[in-house]
Amino acid sequence: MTNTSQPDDGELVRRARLGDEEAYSLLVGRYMRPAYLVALSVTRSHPDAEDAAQEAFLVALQRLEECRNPDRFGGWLMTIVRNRSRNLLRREALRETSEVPAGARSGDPLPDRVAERGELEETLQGALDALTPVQREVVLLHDLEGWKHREIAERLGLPSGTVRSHLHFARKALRARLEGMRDDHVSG
Amino acid sequence: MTRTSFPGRTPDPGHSPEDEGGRGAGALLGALDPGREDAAYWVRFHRDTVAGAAFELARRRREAERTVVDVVSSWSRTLLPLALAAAAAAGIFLARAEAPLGDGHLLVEDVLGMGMTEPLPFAVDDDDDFVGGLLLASEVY
Repeated sequence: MTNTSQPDDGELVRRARLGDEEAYSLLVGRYMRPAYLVALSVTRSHPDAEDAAQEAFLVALQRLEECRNPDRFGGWLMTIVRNRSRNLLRREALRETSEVPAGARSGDPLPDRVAERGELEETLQGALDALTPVQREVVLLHDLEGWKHREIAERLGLPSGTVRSHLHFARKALRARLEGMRDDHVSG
Repeated sequence: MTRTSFPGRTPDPGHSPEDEGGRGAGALLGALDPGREDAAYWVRFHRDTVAGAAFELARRRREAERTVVDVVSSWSRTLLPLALAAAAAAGIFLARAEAPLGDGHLLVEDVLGMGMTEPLPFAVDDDDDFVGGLLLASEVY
């Protein structure tokens, strides 16, 4: 993974600990998509996933000394993302039960954007809802982010065989739900 | 200066080399990528995330600089007085070692021998005096 142009995670973490902005920036660039997808797999909402992922990056920086193995920063970060996402869901639940009507949260997409994304995203979210959180993470990181089984296993702390199994069952469940709309959207 | 380049791989939804027949689902999942509709989304996300960490990064830089200064100054605070004291002690020792012993100086042997030129009051000169002394002692005690 180490080469002349791309410093490895361990080196970037050590530099970021000293406040090196470029090192932190590279870590953010390297993990922002996976972090978003892991957050999305927990929150199942775009604005919440965005908030949780960004919050997780800041928390990770504040707790960088707790990252015992800087070479495995990715897996450590994903754990933080997952925890922040769950916390955010709890906070959202508390807020919604108190006073704010559903759909009125500040981060929600605008109505025209909802219309644009519309049916496809809604169906996808519905399909993803049928999966377990870990299945969602695996299928999103593999199919959307392009991580390999080995990388997912390493960064989520799962055996490689388990990753394959989760991927298999997640895809099977997704296929069953999306069967009707695949041809329309893929060809379009 | 923050570099806005993303070294992570470019997502290619549904075209993973390890794909096992999930291309359709993968391609559909691409709709969940916010960068698909908004090309600048990830640039903004990156910029906002790094900007949000500016305070913490600055704190860490200050901490790192302060640590170096502190270490040096703490060393100087401890070592300087010690070094000065050691130098002063060494100077005194050397000065005394090099000073010649004049008439005014007393030797330890002389000091110990002072006042002992006269015979001790209880010193005995002969056996009779010794016996007389013992008798006197027995009467007293």
